[in-house]
Amino acid sequence: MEHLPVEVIGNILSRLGGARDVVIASATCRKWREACRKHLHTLEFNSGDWPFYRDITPRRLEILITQTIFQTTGLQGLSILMDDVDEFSASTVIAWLMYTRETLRRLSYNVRTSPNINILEICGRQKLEKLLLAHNSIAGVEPNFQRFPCLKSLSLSHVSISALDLSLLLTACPKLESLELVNPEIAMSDAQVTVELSSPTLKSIYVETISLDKFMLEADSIERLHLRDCALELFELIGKGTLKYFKIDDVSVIHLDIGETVDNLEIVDVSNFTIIWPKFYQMISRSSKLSKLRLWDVAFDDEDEVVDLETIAVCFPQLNHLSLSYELRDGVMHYGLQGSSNLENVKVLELGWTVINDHFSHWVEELLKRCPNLKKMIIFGVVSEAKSHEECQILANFTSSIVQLMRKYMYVEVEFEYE
Amino acid sequence: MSSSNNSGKVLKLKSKDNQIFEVEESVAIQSELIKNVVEAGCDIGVIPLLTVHSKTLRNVIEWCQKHVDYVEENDSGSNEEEIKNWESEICEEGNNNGSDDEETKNWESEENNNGSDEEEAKNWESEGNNDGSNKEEVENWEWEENNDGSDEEELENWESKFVDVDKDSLYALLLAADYLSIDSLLERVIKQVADVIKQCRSVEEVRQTFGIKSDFTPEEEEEIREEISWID
Repeated sequence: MEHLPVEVIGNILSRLGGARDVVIASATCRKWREACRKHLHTLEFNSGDWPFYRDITPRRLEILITQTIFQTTGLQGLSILMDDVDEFSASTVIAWLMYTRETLRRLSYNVRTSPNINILEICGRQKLEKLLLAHNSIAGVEPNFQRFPCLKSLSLSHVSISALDLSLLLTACPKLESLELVNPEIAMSDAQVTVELSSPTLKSIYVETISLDKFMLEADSIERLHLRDCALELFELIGKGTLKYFKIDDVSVIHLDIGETVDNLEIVDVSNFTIIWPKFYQMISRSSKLSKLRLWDVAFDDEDEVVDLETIAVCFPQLNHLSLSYELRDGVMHYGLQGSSNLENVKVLELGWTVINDHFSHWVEELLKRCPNLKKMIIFGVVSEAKSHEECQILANFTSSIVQLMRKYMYVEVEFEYE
Repeated sequence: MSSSNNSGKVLKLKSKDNQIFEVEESVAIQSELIKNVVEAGCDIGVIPLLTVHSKTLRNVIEWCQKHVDYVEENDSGSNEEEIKNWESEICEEGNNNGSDDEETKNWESEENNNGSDEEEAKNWESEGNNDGSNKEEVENWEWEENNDGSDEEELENWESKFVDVDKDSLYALLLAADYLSIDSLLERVIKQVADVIKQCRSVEEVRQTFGIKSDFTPEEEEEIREEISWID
């Protein structure tokens, strides 16, 4: 160990991340102490790292954090994620940010500051590549004076910001590739709640728990779009057909537009959603590169609408993974299974039920027939706590029928997941 | 050995204890040091590696060979590869460390997925717990199909076994990886050492585990003891 260069030790200490471990390691000998002082590039104070953070008062914690940060030089990554702390005093937080200003590349911070400060104004901007901010507010964004020339990834959670400032913030980040917005508090100037964002470099966006009238995103390089728990009247994506992954989960949106050219879509994952099939179909029917399609816990707007396998087989010849879970009614069985085109490339099939009925086994059987190259099948089921005798009987019958069925498909691996 | 890129050149590496190892160029240049020597163009017969013992060098070469093979096997490039690279590009919180690649990979959740295909297929969601709870957020944008996911998993398992060695061997690997400038090996060994340190509960335990002697003066000891009083 004595022969290790101090920089390598610094690297090792940086890999520890958690401040407690770093402090312990740096107290072992001179060399390690020096490594911590001069070659530590990452430091984390995360409540998840050590349960005893909870036992330290916020004031004492401020002192410890200050003490530890101020002993380092050239810190590149700083993370202060203290879930149990209500607030830190503004002057202390300012001190931390000023001290690391010149070298900071990654910052994560989630504690309210009192009085409120604008973190963006104080933290180092020149080298910042990743920023994660939570429970703070952002105001008065000035893209001409405050630019983040290296910022690639931005995550805002429970942050209060105006729609205009959010939009301006994106223009201040010329290299932004990833954006996450979780439960933002969007202040609006007029009655309509609208967010319009534009970023030519953005590749990935994740939005969770937002309620808006209009959400427009202009992103010519976008590849990944994921919405969760959103209530939107209108969502429009304007781009150049670069989207590859599209996922929506528990979203209510009246007008959804992901653009004309969807040729590059590879994964479409829709769950907890009411689908208007003709519209949805029109949206994705030209995505001939689609390799994964998941329609889970979806309902169809029109009771007669159905996901028919023929269409899926014909439109998505490269489909590799198919996941379906929706209510099976008589009509579904008939229309959904018409035609004879096979899903030649489907290797993984996931089928789920929320209420088990006789249709389900039949459906499973038909799907197996249509996937000649299947390798694995996973059955997802919801089993109610209080099972009536009849329910138990149905489940038993289902089990028997699957056992019999799988004898014909010996090479398919089967798994069950019940909740 | 295997089906490596046979642009043919074989290099001779000499260990500290004068053993000669013949290694294919494509394998050897995983080491930045050797790569620089080769690119400098001088036609040295044997490259002397003055600080690396043959025992360690043998292991290092094995590491490099495995990584060259892995890259070749997965050269189908294509979508699956790209898709896997997503995991390293998203904005997340998590453990950070040095180099850029490592860093982006480690922002992501470190939850130990049992890694099996179905687990991952399910873990499509990002949990978005950005209010900072250390619960992992984006678990797996990685979306495996076929065998690509398990290939990477296989490599990880291989790497973990590789570094599961006694302390002295670990240090030797660390020193060699640093001297030869082999990023992948350095990273992995550093992680291993860091994991060992994390297990230690006290300063004394770290000292004992790594055979470190305290060289502080009594005054310094006192000072340090004060500083770390907040830890247990």
